[in-house]
Amino acid sequence: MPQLNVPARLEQLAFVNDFLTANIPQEFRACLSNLELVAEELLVNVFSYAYPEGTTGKAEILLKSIYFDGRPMLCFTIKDWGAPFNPFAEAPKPDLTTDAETRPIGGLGIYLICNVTEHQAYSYEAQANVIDVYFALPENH
Amino acid sequence: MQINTTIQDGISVTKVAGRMDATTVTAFSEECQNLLNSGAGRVIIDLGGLEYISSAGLRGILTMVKSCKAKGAALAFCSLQSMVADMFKLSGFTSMLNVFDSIDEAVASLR
Repeated sequence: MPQLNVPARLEQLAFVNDFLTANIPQEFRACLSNLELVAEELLVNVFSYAYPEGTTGKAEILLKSIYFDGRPMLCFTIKDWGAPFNPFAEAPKPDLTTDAETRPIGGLGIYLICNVTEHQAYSYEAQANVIDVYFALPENH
Repeated sequence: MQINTTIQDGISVTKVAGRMDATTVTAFSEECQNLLNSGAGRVIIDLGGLEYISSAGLRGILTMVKSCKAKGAALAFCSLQSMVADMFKLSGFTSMLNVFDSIDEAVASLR
């Protein structure tokens, strides 16, 4: 099971993308852009908010092929050791109907994750935030 | 990310290539601000070479849109590739902004 531990700093993003590119299973290759998107959205949250300013925490990511509800899926897991925070429960749903002048800037990250993945789960285990995100097997893999 | 601005038929055309993410979006925002500060009144953002955009990139796009509206500049986007087109659509940007399939259509819309 490919695993990577990184310091919780934005500069690590390119390194994480290299890890994802090198380790994504061939049959999920068509998901790579969406996997990078999910990783960026979640990691930027960790890098920005999980740890007190002036401290450097860490993040751990894992990739594994699994069966979920009897279907083959790719599971991307991210862990951090900051304060308990469930981004899926606390992110408001963006209003996509407003015009550009009134549309608030930001607030799209979790919405995008939920739209490009099959299932998302959050738990707090052994003082760690654990997020699992599942990608369905692409058609024509 | 690579950014290159030229003038075509009196319209500023900014070509963006590569990845627009949390680590690169600042360069895009700076280019856009410089463009508007230099007095550009008609702007096309050609995303034909952009292969990836995240919510950080979408924030940069929306900030550019709001800046153009504030300055009274006309703005169009064109040539979105598949992942970027998907993100524009999911975010409601495709219907909210002036988005065209080709640079020629974008230029025609601003004439």
